[in-house]
Amino acid sequence: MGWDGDGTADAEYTAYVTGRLAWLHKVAVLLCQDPARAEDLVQTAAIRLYVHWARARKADNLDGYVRTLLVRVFLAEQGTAWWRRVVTVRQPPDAAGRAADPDAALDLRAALAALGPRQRAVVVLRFYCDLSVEQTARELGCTPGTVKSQSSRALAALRARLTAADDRDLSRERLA
Amino acid sequence: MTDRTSHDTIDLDGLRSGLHDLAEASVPPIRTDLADVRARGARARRRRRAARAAVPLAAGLAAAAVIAVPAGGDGHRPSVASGRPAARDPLTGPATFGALPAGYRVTITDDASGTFQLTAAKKGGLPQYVLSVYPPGREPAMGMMRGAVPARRVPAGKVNGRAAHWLQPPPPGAGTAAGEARLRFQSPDGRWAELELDAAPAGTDLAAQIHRVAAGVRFAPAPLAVPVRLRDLPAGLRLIGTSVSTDATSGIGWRTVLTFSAATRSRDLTVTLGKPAGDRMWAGGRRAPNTTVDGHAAYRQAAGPARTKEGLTRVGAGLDVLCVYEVTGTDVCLEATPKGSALLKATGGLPGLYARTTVLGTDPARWTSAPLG
Repeated sequence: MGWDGDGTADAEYTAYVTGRLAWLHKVAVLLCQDPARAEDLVQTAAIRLYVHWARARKADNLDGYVRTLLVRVFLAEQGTAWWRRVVTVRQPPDAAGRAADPDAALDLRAALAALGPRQRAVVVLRFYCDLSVEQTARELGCTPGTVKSQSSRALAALRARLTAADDRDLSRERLA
Repeated sequence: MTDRTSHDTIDLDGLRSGLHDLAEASVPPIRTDLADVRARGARARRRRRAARAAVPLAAGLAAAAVIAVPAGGDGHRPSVASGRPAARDPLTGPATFGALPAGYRVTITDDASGTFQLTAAKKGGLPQYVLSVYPPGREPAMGMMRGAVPARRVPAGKVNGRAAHWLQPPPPGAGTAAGEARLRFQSPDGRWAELELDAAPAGTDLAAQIHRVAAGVRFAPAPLAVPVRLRDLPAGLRLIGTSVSTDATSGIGWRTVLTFSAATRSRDLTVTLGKPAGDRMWAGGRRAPNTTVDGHAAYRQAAGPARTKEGLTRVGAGLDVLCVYEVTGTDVCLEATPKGSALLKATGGLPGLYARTTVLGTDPARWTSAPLG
């Protein structure tokens, strides 16, 4: 039963989270690069959302509110040992889907994984969630200047790694 | 992604689609147990209520006792513990690079946060030196290196006779990648600065290079020039940040941002100038024109709800936006929060502010260090 006595808030929460789970998982998996851990992140964010639902449901931008929760859960748990993360699942994991271009996806995944967590968060918010520098700063709780410098460094690192991957592919093609 | 990158730039549209592909490919069928999530959330809410009820008692105990709080593992506290830093003029930097190795030039000056940053890079943005000058006070927290590895203080040779240490020693160990290292050192007035070298070529003597550049840093007020002049801004809007990036081939691109605040810590008006040609980030995020201003293509969005193509509410949907394209070689974008818009209303809102804006072009020789008046 929900905390409003008649279960209305519970039903609203369930309807909202059910509709947003897939989207939250996608953002989470880009943030942490690990589908299993992404589930933990989403679940932790969903629990926090439940705790604050009375306030959150009144937010002008509920999606932004939840995304901010998710990103901050991700950043806050960087120093947390794996064994402390609690999984709430009903079934064992299923096989992940397949990328349209597996080599390219692997290159990008490796390049993303090499970034620090805050830089990765900036890349995901800017280029996956399509937020502006200022919007990203608000979600991360930092300044636009910090977002820009993190973004610049992240893009430079991605470029260096993707270029190296390109060069490797070219070498392989020449040898083939 | 293999056909979308080059040595000089990264294709941001390619990056966007790559991220979408990756997200679609990586997510297994959802198996989150929402009933369990709700049960755990309910338990957490009960704990919070119980804790809240106990606060008056805890506060009383705290007031009655003197509690000795041990320092962190390295006996070190974050700079925030030393108090709020004094306000600084965002149009005056506290330091400049001295002699830089051949091929490097200053590409980014960022005074938009509490930490002043200068970046000097080769064409394309790498390798790069990033100098951060922290507010006066204690040394900031060590923070994290790559992969969330906690940074650790490692002794280093002094810089101009003043204290210095590595955050990780070169050559790379845990938390660093090849070709990068970070050195912290003190300025003559005792504040801390940090110099980071990224993506140095193999064979670079990182320690010697960083020490040489650090020793050349000049700690003295230096005016920042910007390519814009704004007249008759409302008195309630205060300039709190300035960022200038001059390398169109870098990740940020050619861009200047002035940030104004109507109150402590809020960002109520941003004035952004971006150079369309060669600026991949700006091009990727440029809003499609929906009107014209003074004969220039422009984009106007009055504050109001907006949704993404997936039906999600956009953050910042309450922003008032006016972007005018290709003005003296740059795009000009003005964004105001409801509070900023209210302050601008008496002088014509964002269109009025744009009419009082003079773009000084892309030649730094024509820029000004006194843009407000």
